[in-house]
Amino acid sequence: MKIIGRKSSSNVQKVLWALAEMGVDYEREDAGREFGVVDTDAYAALNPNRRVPTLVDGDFVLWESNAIVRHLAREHGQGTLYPDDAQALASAERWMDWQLTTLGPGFTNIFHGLVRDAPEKRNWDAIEKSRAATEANFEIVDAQLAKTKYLASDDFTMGDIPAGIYAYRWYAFEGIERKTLPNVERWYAALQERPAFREFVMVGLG
Amino acid sequence: MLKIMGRDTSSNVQKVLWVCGELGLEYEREDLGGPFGGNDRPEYLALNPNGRVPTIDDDGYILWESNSIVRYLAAKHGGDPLLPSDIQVRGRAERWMDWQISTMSPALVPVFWGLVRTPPEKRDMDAIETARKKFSSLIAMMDGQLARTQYLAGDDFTVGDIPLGITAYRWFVMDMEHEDYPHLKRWYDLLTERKAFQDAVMNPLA
Repeated sequence: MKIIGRKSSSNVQKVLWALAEMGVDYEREDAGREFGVVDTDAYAALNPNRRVPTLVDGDFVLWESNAIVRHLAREHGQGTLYPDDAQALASAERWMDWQLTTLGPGFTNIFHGLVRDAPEKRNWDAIEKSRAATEANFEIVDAQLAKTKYLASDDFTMGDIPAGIYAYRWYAFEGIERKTLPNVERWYAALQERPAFREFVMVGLG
Repeated sequence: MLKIMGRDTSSNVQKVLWVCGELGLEYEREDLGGPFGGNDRPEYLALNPNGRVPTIDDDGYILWESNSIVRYLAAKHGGDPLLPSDIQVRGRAERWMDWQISTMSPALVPVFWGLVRTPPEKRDMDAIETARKKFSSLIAMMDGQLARTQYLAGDDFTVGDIPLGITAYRWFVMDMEHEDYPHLKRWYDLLTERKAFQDAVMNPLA
């Protein structure tokens, strides 16, 4: 099995983190941003959306990072990353979808503004709006984590993976205003104890 | 009985109403969101802190995020082929669901708001045309898939057709230029023969 995509991409990190949690072997090829590849015809034939990651396993090709994580967890993580209980499963999927619909889009401007834009080119109004949206989104996470130890249940599941990557990025920013959210901080501390999270997610912002 | 909270003109609510129709499920529905408001009330936010529609209450189990609700109901009441048992077909179906929220919805929103929710005299037609071209390029991606398979995930109608089936309805009925996408049209015509699609989706845009 091969994963195509640069290690610095949050979407690639979801897949690498999940694979490491399950101890699955794979090869990885760099693609995206400084590595290019995604604009080639060969890549478009695998992934017409031209983003990373793409999974290639023999004849089977899959893209969309959260769908890849669910696919791999269904195959290798039944009862661990992939909850057996139907309600816990749906709740895990819900937090994954919510990252795509809400948490991710809300975070885009603060991440691009502070990490990718040169200081003199920063749009501070957009950065502040994005900061406030992200803080409000982590309050939603905090309210869930007041009820359950992890997002979908009292166990770590694939539902923690997308939001966990955003938690790392959110707490890695220096000098920004952040409300104290005790449940998020407890959960984030627990994620940091996972070797797979440290190896594939806590790698700096790039 | 299953309770669905959300106005039936919302594309995200329509996903849930459509799958309920496919599954022959009975439900109660409460109008909420858009012109009905109510989604910012504390009692709704206690169920769905994200404050959007739909939310379901399935005998006390609360779930929000429309695509996760569709998969939860299909798993509980349907199964194969609607929710494919083949792991690769399932992965592809979920990929198209995720792509609708990650990529298609952000491209559709400015076209929909421009043409459906903005009075003609206030429309920025240049901005709408730029957005329409991007929307069309994504519809072309679906057409490319549908040149190879009968439905988006393979030979059968699956949950993977639901989010983008609603997008396709909006593509065809909005008053704008339409490039010719014959494979998309063939698939769309199949969807329009489904009673659940007619009932839940083929209604005036609002």
